[in-house]
Amino acid sequence: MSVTAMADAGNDLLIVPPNFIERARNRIFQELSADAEDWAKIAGQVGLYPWTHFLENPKPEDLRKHKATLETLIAFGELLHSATSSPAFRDKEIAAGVTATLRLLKDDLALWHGNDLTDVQAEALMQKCFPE
Amino acid sequence: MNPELEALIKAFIAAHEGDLRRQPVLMSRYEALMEAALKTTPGVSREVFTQGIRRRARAFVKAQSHPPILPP
Repeated sequence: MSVTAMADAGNDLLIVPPNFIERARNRIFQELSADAEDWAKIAGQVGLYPWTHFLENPKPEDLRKHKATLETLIAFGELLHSATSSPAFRDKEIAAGVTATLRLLKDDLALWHGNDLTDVQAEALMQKCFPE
Repeated sequence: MNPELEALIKAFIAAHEGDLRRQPVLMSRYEALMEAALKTTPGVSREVFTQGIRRRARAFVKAQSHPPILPP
C-alpha cells in the first residue's frame, strides 16, 4: 500500500480484523506442537544411537556428526522452549515435554561428548558414587 | 554392576522413548535417581557427573546382554 493510500484509509488501519490474532496464534501453536512432537521423536533416536554405536572404538566422524546433531536439536529445543513457555501457549503438557526433552538432550551431550574428566577422574568419580 | 547405577542408566535410556507428552513422567524417575547420585558428590556438577557415567556405559550394555543364569 502506498503512503497516499494509507492516508486515505484513515482509521481503518487501526482495526485488526476480527479473530485474526486468535486464529493466527492457534494455527502457529498447533504447528509448533506438531513440530515439538516430531523433534522429541528425533531426539529420542539420536540419544539412543551411541548405546549401539559408540561403545567400541567409535569413529571420530560419527562422534563429530552425533555431537553436531545434538547441538542442532538443542538449539531448536531452546527455540521451542521460549515459545511454549509463553503464557499464551495453553498446552502445558507439550510445554513440560519440551522442557524435559531439552534437559535430556543436554545430558546426552555431556554424557557422550563432555571432556572435563580424564579416564582416571571418571573412574574415581564412579567408584565414589557407585562402588562395585 | 552397582544396582543404583544400573537403575540410573535404565531410567536414562527409558527417557529416550520419544513421546513428548510422556517425557515429564519418564524424566521424573531419571531425575530422582540423578539427584540422589549428585548428593553423594558435593561440588560435582551434573554435566561433569554425567560424563562419568560414560565410563560405565559399556559395562552396562554388556551386563544387559548376559542375563543371570539363575531366574529371579
